[in-house]
Amino acid sequence: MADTKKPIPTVREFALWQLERIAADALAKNPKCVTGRRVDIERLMQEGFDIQLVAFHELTRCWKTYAFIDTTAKKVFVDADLMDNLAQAKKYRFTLGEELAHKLIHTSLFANCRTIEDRLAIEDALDEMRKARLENNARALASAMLMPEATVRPFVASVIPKFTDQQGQVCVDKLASAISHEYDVNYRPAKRRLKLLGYHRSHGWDLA
Amino acid sequence: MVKTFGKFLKEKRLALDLSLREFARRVGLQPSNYCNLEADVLPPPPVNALGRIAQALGLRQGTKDFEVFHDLAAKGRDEIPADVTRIVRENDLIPAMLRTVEYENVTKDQLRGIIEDLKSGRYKKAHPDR
Repeated sequence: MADTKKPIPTVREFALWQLERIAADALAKNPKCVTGRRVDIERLMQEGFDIQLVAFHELTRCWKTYAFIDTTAKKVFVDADLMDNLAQAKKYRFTLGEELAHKLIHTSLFANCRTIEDRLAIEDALDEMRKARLENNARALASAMLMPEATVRPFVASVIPKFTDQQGQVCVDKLASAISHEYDVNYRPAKRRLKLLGYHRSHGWDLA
Repeated sequence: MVKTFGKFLKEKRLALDLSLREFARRVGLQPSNYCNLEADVLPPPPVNALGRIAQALGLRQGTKDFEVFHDLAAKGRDEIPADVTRIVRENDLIPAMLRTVEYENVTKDQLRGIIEDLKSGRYKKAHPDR
């Protein structure tokens, strides 16, 4: 009897330096999308990549996701409540960053993804390892676009003295908060960015 | 060439360096609703909201962009442009002029010529009847 099981889709593994380079290229090609340190991810999507945003009512409630991309039509459907809730502006920005990341690095995986059902079917077909890789890739690239290494490192270096106590210990939480404020992202992604950039190794910071 | 109302809106908003949310706030619409206007998911809004949007985009009456804005909005709603409706309502000779164009089989090229002639400025002083 023939094996009717569908093969598990592949999710390419990216090294961090590759994602950093993809992010840097995207920003370099769209300098208008960067004001000071803040990256206007919405503009980057719309102007830089000609992606159309569409508000999708009840998306999160019905499908347990904040957004999904239709790569064929170059549309990103975003939960309408997330879009309307100004208190969630940072989350909205990061969500857009993740979808743009999928567009940049998971194009072949989502090549025929036109509906939310298509998207969920693709994700459901992945085993846990691939699913985690998919999410980690997107999250890391979104972080690299919203908090570019080229500006985060100098920023961190400039504020370290401010957040260092008399014993020479750096208050990582305050540092992550400063990044959160400066780059208009939430605290957790800011702290995760420090870890991705290897500060826990180079500076011995506790970034768990 | 901008083909839809939504694309026109997006182009003009981005030219003003305004985010979708900020622009929606300025025109008094929910960001999600404004987003779907740009996406052409929703039809162009009614006249009063159109006016607010035109103002927020800095479109001045009498400019080409103002006309394109109203023409695309009307096309999206399958209606006569709001500014044209007002002009017809305020000037009872306009229907007669339109009928004349129709009855005399005036071609599009001839109409373009008439428009250019009107725009030449030589009629500027002659509007005491309006």
